[in-house]
Amino acid sequence: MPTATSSGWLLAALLVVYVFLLAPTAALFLAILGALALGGIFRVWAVTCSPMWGRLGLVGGLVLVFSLDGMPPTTRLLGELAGMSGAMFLLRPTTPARGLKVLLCLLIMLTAILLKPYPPVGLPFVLFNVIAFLFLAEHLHRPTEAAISLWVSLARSLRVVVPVSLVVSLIFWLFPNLSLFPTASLSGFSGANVLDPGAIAELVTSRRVAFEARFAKGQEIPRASDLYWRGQVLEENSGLRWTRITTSIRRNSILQEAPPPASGRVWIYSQAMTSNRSGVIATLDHPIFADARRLDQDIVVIDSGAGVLSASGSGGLMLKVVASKNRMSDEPLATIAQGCLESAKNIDPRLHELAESLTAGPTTTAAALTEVSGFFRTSGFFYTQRPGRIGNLSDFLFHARRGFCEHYAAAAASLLRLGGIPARVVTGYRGGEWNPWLRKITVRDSDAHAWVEAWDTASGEWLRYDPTNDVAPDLAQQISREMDFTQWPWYRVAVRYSSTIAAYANEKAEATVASVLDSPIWKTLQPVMFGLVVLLSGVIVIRRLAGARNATAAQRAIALMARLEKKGGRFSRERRAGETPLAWLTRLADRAGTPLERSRTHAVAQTYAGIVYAAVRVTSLADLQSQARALCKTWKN
Amino acid sequence: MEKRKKRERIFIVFHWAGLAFSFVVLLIFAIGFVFVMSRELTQILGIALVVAGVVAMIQTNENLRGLDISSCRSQPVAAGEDVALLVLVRNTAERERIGCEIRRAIEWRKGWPSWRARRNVSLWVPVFRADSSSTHTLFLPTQQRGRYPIPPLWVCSVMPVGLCFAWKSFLVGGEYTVYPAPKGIPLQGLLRHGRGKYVGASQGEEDVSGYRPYEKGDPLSRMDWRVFARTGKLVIRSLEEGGADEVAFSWEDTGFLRDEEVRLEQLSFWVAQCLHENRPFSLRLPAGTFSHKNVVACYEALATFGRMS
Repeated sequence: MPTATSSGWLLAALLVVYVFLLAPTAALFLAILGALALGGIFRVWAVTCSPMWGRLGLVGGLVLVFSLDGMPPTTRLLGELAGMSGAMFLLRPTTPARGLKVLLCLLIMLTAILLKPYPPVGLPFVLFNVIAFLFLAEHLHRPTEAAISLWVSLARSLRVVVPVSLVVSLIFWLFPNLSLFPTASLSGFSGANVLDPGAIAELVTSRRVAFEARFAKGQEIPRASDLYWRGQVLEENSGLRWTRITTSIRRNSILQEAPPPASGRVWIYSQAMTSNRSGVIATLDHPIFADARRLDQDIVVIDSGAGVLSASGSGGLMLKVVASKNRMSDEPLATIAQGCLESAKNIDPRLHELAESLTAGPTTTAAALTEVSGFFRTSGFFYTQRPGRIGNLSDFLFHARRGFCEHYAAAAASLLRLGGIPARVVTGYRGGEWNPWLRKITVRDSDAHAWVEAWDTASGEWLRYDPTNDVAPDLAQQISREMDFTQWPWYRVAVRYSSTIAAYANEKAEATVASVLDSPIWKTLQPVMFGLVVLLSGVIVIRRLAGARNATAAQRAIALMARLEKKGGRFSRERRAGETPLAWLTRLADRAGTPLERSRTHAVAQTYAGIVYAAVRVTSLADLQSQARALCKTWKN
Repeated sequence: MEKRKKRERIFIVFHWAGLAFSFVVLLIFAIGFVFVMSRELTQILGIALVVAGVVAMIQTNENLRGLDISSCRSQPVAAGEDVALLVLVRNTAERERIGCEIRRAIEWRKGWPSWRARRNVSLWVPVFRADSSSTHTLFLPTQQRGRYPIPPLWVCSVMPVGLCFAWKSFLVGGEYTVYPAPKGIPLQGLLRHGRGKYVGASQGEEDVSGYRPYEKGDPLSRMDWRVFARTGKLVIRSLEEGGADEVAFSWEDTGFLRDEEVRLEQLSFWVAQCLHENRPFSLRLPAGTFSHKNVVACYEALATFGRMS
């Protein structure tokens, strides 16, 4: 098999780039960089300094990193170990097998880079990496007898790159859900203070995870019909457009100072999320207690009334939430009540007629809601996320009759108000992805939803009404099926269970590592390890210097021959596997193109034999050096 | 008219590097599934690598397409030495084929061969030029005398990426002869024992029966230089049976040895010595008499002595 020494530096350069991308500030970076830079020297001085010392240096670097920086996260640790292994392989001459190992290490490093919280690379880099993998693997294996120029090689690699790109594009086009955003990347509440037609439709296409809710063992899990995650409450009505009422109007606060005792009337769970620019925290409808922490610091949760919570600042949030199963009984303040009755100006008279026809008969809010529900169910409304252009409320109710939750919530609340029932629109999320083993619900942007709350004067409660259920009952059934894993297809159970096991194992491992790092033993061990690394480095340096000083002439000649071989490789004069240096030189002399080259090759061979094999040294190392230089010049010419 | 591809049986399995590659791809998917901060990118990386692996597999398959072992010949060889199989490989493809190996087939049914055995029976061929034939020498180790069928041969490759190992199997037919390893005492010892004889050794002159044109491989000692000096033609003197210097030995001459195999080795040694010294000989075995004129038949007789051929 051929050897591919020329690819060694290319691989080393890639490794350096990857190490830099993975951990630009870590001491490991310097350790690997140093080892790679010295790799050539180690190779040349293989007689006096074994690459083993380079490996020890790398391991020392890793220990140094861990002792100084603490244990990195699992993925980074994986990347650094792969980087170390790759550097160790590169300390020895690059063969196709060894080169492939380095390439595999690079792939693992790339994965670790992609798993960083804010990956410094994107799609082009990933694709470039795959192309580079194929190109280098091909380059490593191509025999020297079949060598082709770089450009031809690149052109030929297009035969691989083009089909790969096409197939990958096709796969992602056919299965867009492959680009799911992960559970670890939380976006928080993605709604705004405005409900505009189309706002939620944009969210529906995004699979970014908004937050995760986890229910401890023994805690009751909400039913599918209770899975409404309350975000923002909108009271200002202007047809299909709804906005939050100005902050000058106070709402009743329902948040309690202390957690209420556990009972059958509350849900208790923990929630992981990120508070983004809106600051709104979407919680299970409706919250009565919330304790937020960010980076182990308590955060004040702002209660804006009507169950709308928010937190200042940005970043990861951990909440303990207690949500009430009871209906919200905060009687609206006078101004709120007034606001909840206001309708858009210059409204179509047909809307008044419709609202009156729906609310004239019933005497209670619940009955009025039933009427409105019946209207949506029986009037030919159609649920679609692409309803086309809808101008205003009249257009929606009397002509288009197609839309999604946003349209139905806005229309239902408007009709209720026109009928004299205080109503408001609530935006948030509905449903989620249920994991029965971790007892976790993952809510994504695509779960964004809007519904209606109507004030029932008789009971003094806000009644939740979701008009979307009237036009798309299958959506509710879908959530029911999601919450009952016995209805899942077998492959879904298998995939979800496998990922759960992996996630659980990872959680446990990270918790164990964290506990070890926090232990007093580690704190004692850390300076000892640091001292050992320094000691080891000192020993390496001393051994290296001593080795270089004590090298015999024969060892120096062998090292010189190794350098000559390396140069020979650049001029298509590689030494074959199993060929001794003298046999190599003899072959070169036999095939020499000019008499000068032949004579110089003979001279080098004789001098080398005189130093290395003669019982009494008859030639000097300086002669060998000058002859080798002369031979190299001949090769160049 | 469109040229249709000939259907060829090419087998492909993952090379060790391919297995490691598969493991890394699985690792990427698994990690992406569990930890991910950017699942999209890991999915793209994983799927791109899977597709790249498939494409590499197809290309490895392509690298063997069009290769064909036309024939395989060999010369008799002594037991213990490597038999040289002259393998004629034809590349009918329009492109060159790179980095292939010609090797003895791995007989999976007989178990996985040892590492040494696998290494010793392969021949690295860097390039098969497009639309051309080339002859390569593959050495197979031998152990015991006999006539053996030429084993199934593989043309295999891991090119171009090294992830997959593909091979084409060829059963070319034919046999190779392994004669007993030449061991024992030299001919002079035989004569001292009073057995064997130099036929006409005392006459001093060779009995020339005629002349024939020189052929490649003829001993130069038989060249008639006087004819060459006169005519410029290369002619070889043909000797009569039992002519000067001819040594005749037989199976019975090895009676001082007990073991049959050792006796055959002794005979083999004498044959080798005669050939080395360019001395005519005749070997008498129960199966017949063989002379230096047909060395191959002589070796075959020794190889198959006492065995069904």
